[in-house]
Amino acid sequence: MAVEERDCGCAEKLYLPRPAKITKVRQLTATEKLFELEFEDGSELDHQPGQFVEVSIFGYGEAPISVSSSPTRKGSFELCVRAAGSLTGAMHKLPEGSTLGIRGPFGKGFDTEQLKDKDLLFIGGGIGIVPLRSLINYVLDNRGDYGKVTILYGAKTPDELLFVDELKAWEENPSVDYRVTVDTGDDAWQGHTGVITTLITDVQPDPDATYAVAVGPPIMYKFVLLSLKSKDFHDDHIIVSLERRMKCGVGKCGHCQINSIYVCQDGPVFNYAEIKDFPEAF
Amino acid sequence: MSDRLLRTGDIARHCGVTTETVVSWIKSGKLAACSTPGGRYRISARDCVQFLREYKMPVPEEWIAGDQYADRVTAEEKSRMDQLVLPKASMAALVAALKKTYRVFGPTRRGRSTAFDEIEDPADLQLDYTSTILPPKKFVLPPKEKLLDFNIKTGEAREPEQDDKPVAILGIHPCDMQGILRLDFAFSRGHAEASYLDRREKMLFIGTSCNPDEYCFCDAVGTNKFDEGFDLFLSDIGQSYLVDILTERGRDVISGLEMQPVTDIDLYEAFKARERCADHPGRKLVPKASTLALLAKDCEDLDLWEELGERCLACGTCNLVCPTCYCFDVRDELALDLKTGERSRFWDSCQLDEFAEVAGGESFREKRANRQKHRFNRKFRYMAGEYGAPFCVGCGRCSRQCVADIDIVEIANDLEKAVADL
Repeated sequence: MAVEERDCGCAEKLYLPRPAKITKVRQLTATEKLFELEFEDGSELDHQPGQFVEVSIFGYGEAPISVSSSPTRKGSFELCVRAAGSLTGAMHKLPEGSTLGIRGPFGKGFDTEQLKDKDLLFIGGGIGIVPLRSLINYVLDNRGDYGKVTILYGAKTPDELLFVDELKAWEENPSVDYRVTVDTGDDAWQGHTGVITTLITDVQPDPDATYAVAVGPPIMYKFVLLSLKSKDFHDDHIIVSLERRMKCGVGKCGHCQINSIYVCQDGPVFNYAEIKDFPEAF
Repeated sequence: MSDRLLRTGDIARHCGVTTETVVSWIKSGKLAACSTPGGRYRISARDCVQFLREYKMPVPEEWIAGDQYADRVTAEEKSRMDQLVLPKASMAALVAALKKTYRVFGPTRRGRSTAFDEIEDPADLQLDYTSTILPPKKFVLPPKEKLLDFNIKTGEAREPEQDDKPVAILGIHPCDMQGILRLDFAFSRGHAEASYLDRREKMLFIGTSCNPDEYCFCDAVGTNKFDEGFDLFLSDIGQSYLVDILTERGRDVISGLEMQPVTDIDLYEAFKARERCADHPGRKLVPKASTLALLAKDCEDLDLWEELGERCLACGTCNLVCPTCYCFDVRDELALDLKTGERSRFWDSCQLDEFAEVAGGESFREKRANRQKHRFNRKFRYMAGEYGAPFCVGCGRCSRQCVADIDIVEIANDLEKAVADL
């Protein structure tokens, strides 16, 4: 009985993690840390923006984490992790210099070729900014290949804003239209308050020339999609990234299924037109 | 080829019993016989010889020499003929031949049911069975399978070595063989899994014809195939098996055994044995298998699923006993030294509450109704579309063993009825 050709180089040993050293840890918010990682053998992760890795800590297991850095920035890659469970909690306790295991990259990322020469409307809701940042920085590193760039970012409170240094850089970048909002401000907050859809009302994208890339928690999609449709966006000009419980990362364990598809194989990035009719998608 | 036919009187005289006794042997299944149009029993000399040998009675020379052809085939004939006969009395020899190369597993009695177990004593083999508690998928995808050995202190990790001796399954039914073929598909596509495929490549499968019950529906989903996946297929023809040699590996197994040539009666009996899967009592699948995918699609929003959700206990039994379910969970376990440990995968079930939960506690398939719908869709629509045939193999295990009496054939029939009523 013949064995089919293997798809990618990592399929040889599907479940064996590669060791990576934590070279830098930054506390971004009360619950999120940014880890910079380098493979011990010096190799690149070689990922597409929007892909994820399985982070392995022996004794705890594995967790799927989106890659937050752009592949244009070589030598290392970054993972922004919220302490939400036993593995991520353990990861938060790891100091710089520790080693953990990485499998991947897995999944279908953002199609950077398809988006070339288009105007881009990035919509990041809360933690959705984490995978979106990978694509935003990729686009900014290849600025000439893309049209207008508008970044809309919404968080619950000012304390929960991620990557504040970079937000400042995007705000100061003359080739970027950056807008931010929080659901509830605090005493120091001078900016816009309201949910992320309130930012969408203020922009006037050309629906034929623009692709909207929206990433956020499940509840956000419903309202953002309505908002985009009211701006005459075509279904196939809307890109989303959906979170599911990825375990094996290789389309076998079944936990990430949305109806007939495995999110770890056919996603997590999807063109809205291809999944809008899947009952379990939203 | 023809075979000498004996009458009940011939046998009665030789054994020193009445013809009534011989008839009672036939009726109780101990002695194979066919009947003339007038209702008289006729027994082939060869079947009678095997019967006498089985019960350790002396055999008259002329009955052995009575065949036009030699009682046994030659080694040369064995190397080129694709169909031969193996007496049931030779099962012990077959098991012994297998055990030289393989660990042998076959159906054995377990309480009031049947289960696949390792065969040490051929007498334990229970080849005359309908279904087992767990399907033979447990041999290609163990309920618990180690993926890695790891050491927390050193950070090292290793994949485990494969077992030395390959496995032979003796007595697998066509539905279960089709189940294994579908698992092969699942583990070859996309990221091909080396550990599954390496183990699978070394396995030997000897199929046997089945005695279906009212839960079986292999013919309705097209899985009563006798020549796919097996190395040998044994059709039960009474005192013997008609052996179909389907691979060279299978041929090697029988190379040392005494086999007999095939007669027309043998071919006919084998055909009848296989036809049992198509013609059996109990519920029938009403919709055609080819329409099930569309049926599932049209019935997305029906109340029928809500009713099923109410009855379902979300125990996961249906997934455990299904030959084509392969979803798994992965967990780390530490040894007592808290330094070394294992990462293993365990059978999991999409019917369980936690299956579709993400960090933060949200579940993407919270309602049992949706999980029942997902299972049905996976077997008859999603995976069926990818594979090109229903992923359900019609073994009936889920229906037979569901604690809540949920029956997959009834679901399909109810969907068909609901659509007709719309």
